[in-house]
Amino acid sequence: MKEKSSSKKDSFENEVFNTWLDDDGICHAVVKKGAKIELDHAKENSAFVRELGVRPPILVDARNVITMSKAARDHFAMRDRKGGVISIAILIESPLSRLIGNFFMGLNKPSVPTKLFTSEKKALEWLHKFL
Amino acid sequence: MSSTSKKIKKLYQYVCEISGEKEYKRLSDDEMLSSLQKQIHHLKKGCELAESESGRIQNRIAEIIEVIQNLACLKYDKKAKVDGSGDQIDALAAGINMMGEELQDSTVSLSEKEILLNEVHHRVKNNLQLVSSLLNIQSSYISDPYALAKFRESQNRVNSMALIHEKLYTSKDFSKIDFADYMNSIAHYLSAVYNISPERVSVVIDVKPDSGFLPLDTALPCGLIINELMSNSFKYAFPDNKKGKISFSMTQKKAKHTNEYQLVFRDNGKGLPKKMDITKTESLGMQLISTLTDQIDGTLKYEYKNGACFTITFKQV
Repeated sequence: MKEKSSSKKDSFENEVFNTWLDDDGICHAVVKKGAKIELDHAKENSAFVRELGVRPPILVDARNVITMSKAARDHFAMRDRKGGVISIAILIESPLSRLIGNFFMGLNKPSVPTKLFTSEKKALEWLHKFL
Repeated sequence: MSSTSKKIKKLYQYVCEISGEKEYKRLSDDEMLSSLQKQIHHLKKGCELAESESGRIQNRIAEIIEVIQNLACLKYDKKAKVDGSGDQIDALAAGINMMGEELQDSTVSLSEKEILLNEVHHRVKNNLQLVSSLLNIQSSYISDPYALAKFRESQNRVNSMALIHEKLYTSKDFSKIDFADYMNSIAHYLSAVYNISPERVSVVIDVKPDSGFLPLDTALPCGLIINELMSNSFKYAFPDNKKGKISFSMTQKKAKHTNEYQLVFRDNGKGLPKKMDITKTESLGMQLISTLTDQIDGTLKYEYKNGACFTITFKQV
């Protein structure tokens, strides 16, 4: 995994996300420990990704997520809008993160290719196909 | 070795085993007793911890069950606590919360659709009544009794269709019609139109409860068929103000994949003219009955049994 970019415009942080674009052009969004993701958090993160000027594939490290509201899930699913990313790899681990990931895949149905991974390496390999 | 020493040693070995210690040290009786006390204290503490953990899990499960009970009553204000341990109980709580959010969303959109459907049926009924009123206004300019009767028949057909939409928007179920209720409304309406009192011609409707509800696409043709048959009876079956009786029934025969319905309409009037072939007649009413029977993939049979008797058999998947 590449190191986090030091450039300010290429990274973003709010209450629940640490997000940055790596040198390969893959966006990383790491969910902070104990994060309860609401619509505003999701919108802030999406606004940052849109400002990158490209539509990158994104790796969402959801291993530390606690909850994600329906409004946030619907926002990330991008069903009624053109989203800022071209594919989503979601990193999961605990039963909780697995459940939230599966919910997002099944009931919220993201409009871009989305896959769940337990291995960061495999997730990045898959995302590279979209570059 | 005394029997007390043997008992202490046996107890020591047993406690070591359940504590997971496989190697026993060579100890004196006093040392074994002291070690036993320590291990028992340790085990007790472990049990207390396990008990408190089990209590915590039980409380969380009870809370999740309460949320499920609320969801079953479509109450969405309570949510199960997700404490961040990330374990299976957390996953269960988060899953129930998310299921609740999806359920709330779908019940809201379902209720919006119900309101919309209600509005559509209301407007269709209003439009059909408008057509009926236009026919009524137009008929006031007609002096020819034959043409006037034809206008009135058309008006009755439109009204029978309007009635079904009225039944739909006043009922809770938009997919099915209470057929007995619909038939009663048609009978009342036609009795009023032809100015026939129940004392002169009584109408008996016998729709069995298990065949009482029909989907719209079956109920509408059946309603129009009854409209034609009843109008015919009112007009021709009982001439010279004779008294009479009209009855119709609907029964259902259940099969594995389909249900067979039998709609029987009869009166005790003079019956159809003997030479009349119901499949070849030029009467618009009879042609409509044949066409509507075809529409529900049914068969039509006419017999004279102390009056006209029509049997329509059709299947419903």
